[in-house]
Amino acid sequence: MARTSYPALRVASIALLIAIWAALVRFGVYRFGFIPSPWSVLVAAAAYVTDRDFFLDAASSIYRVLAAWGASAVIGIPLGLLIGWKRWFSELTFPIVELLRPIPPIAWIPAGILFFPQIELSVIFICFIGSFFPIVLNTIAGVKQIDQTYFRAASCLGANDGEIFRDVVVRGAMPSIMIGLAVGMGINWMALVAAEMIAGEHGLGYMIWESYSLARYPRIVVGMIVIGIIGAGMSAGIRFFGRKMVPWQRSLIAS
Amino acid sequence: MSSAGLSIRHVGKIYMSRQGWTQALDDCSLEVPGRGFSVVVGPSGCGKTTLLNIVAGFDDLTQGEVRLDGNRIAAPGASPRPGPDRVVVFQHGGLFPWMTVLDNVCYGPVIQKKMTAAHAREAARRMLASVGLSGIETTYPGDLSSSMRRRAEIIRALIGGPKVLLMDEPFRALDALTKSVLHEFLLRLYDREPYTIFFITHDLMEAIYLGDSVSVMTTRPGRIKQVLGVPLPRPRSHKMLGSGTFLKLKEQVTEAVHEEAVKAFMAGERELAR
Amino acid sequence: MAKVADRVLNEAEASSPTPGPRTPPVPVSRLSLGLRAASYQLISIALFLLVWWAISTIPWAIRIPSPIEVVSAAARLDPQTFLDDMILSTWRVGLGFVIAAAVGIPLGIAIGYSPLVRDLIFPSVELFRPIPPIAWIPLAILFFPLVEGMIVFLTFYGAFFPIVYNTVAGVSGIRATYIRAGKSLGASEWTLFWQIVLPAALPVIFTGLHIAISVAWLMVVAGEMIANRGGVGAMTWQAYQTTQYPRIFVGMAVIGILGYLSSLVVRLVARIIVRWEQ
Repeated sequence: MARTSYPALRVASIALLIAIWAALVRFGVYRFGFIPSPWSVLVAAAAYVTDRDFFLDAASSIYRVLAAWGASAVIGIPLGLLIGWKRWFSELTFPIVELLRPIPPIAWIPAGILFFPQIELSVIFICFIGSFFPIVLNTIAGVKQIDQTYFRAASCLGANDGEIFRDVVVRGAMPSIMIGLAVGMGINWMALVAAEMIAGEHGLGYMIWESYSLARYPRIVVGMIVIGIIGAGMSAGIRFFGRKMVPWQRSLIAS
Repeated sequence: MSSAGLSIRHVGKIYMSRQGWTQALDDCSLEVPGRGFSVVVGPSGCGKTTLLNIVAGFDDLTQGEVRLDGNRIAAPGASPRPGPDRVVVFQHGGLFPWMTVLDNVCYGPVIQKKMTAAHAREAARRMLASVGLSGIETTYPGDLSSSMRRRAEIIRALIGGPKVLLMDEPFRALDALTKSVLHEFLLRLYDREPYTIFFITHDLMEAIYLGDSVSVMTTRPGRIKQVLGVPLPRPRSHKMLGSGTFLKLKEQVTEAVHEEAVKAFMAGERELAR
Repeated sequence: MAKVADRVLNEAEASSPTPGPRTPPVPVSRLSLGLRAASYQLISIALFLLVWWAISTIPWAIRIPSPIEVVSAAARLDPQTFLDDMILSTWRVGLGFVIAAAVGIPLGIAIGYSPLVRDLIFPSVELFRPIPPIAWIPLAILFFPLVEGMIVFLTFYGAFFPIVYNTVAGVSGIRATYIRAGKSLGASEWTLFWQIVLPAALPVIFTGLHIAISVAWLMVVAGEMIANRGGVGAMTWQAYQTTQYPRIFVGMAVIGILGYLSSLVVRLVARIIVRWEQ
């Protein structure tokens, strides 16, 4: 596969996209007449990001995502470590995890509203479901891929069970845990948008739905873009944090 | 007989598996005198690693006993427990990839509470410098060459002053040139401070060059078939590799091992035919 | 050396095969090992049901229906509408998934193969990626006059990105050695593609398909909950709105099972088509 690249084309690509979008809307091709035009979106964007509502919505969504993500990490990582490390614990708890896993977070929404009549908690609960399973599964995989040699080396050097857990299990699983946290964050965002749309009170997802019901259509696209940017930003943040936590990772890939 | 050293007496090991039971070791006996360098050779699958695992405490035995400096460390029914008195240098590398070299080397003494962290770091630095490995303390094992990694792992094993150093084909994955560098390294370390060493390998030249005695293990079920003393003087040098004594020893060992290798091959053929 | 071999052979034939052990082996039967594993699983599930039941009976804990209520709600479902809902959801997922594959795989191959196509199209694709598929729902409602169209668009959109990304990765990640080997054996561009590039990329493409079908299921449930026109997602949402709470859990279980089955189907197809990689 050739390694040439055409940087000018990349810029042109995006410009082309916007141009096609504008044209489709302008000429009412098929039902594109119902879609807001790029220009109207830009105007609405300028209005929204300077509005107080924006900060409220963004802060609300970010808070929920972080709370859910933090909770799923605090519960999921120790659970995953134990399941991966001790066979008896895995046999006892893993079947339940596998049973609940195929149910997507969105399907939990009615149940979530049932459990937690408060909207805030129910949204956080749905997000929690979203990030919980990737974190647990990746943590388990992280423990399982640790070479038996390292456990033996640690025993040889005099480590007891607790020290092996701290120095071998946790640290050896760290790269996978970081991957799980990153994936979990991504799914968390998706779950957040769904939960806020269906059951929310404020927040970016709710804002999109509200814009639709109030027929303020350009705001819909503004909301989508804002969600995209903040979501991407948080994922990048997690990845950065992940790399910091695993300074030897580069070497692992090399060897 | 002095009680120092490693004493393996009539060790037997039976494995249970889904296919039934297999006898890995049968009446293995071997004496490694205190501060002696003993090498075990044998065909693949003969049980050398099983024997080492039993001595190390990773596995239990069904028969016999193992004594280290007079104390019984393995017996039937006793649960196996590895420990810092018999550290292992592993075949595929046992340095923790997520710790720097310094942290790796310090790990044993600090965990065993033999030294404070600061004291251990100082001792580790000194030891690494004494073997020409200073400068890699803050490097991660993944960034080191394989020869440096092996050397660092040996230092990690020795810093705690183990009663016996167990080496599980440690140089197997290295190319010939790197291997000879490591042979020199190990021999100079041994000259400086003779530990009790129990070394297994399939490389016959390596066995004779390094050891005081070469024990040949039969194919499964493993037994010590023959023990040849190595009358070469220490310190060893590679000039000895061409000497008459060396070549004669090599011929003897090769003959003994080859016979076992053929048996193992035949047994494998019979397995396939079944 | 030949003499040694002869001697060994004679000895082997003369002696009988491995004699009995000197110490009796520990009697651990295979049956008991298997039973132990199965019983652990049963205990685990039983424990789960017990905890569930306990929470449902305590009045001040979160309100859930008990396992028994859920099972009886499942029994009381009208089989015809239930089947209709399942088929509808499956149809919507299947259609969107197939369209996404039909569009996404060729696109991914084009992007992976040609740097020109890649730099022309990929930046736009990348731009869409951070936006969660669910966020598209209001726009989709505006755009598609029919609810069916909207829902199928959602499943399509959800499945599209994993398929494209994995196809690109699969095609561009092929070891150069394979391509060189093919060329040195005289393969034409056409043969090179169909016999080397595509088969080599298939495992990664199937991983993409596997991810895509799960996302498609996610999307169908979301779309059905919002549009409320049939399907298992709608059934679950309606159960909430009509306060038939045990039915919610029946719906969840059905969604989970159908999602699991659909990804199983993809994995089975993968195993058949990609015979050489186990």
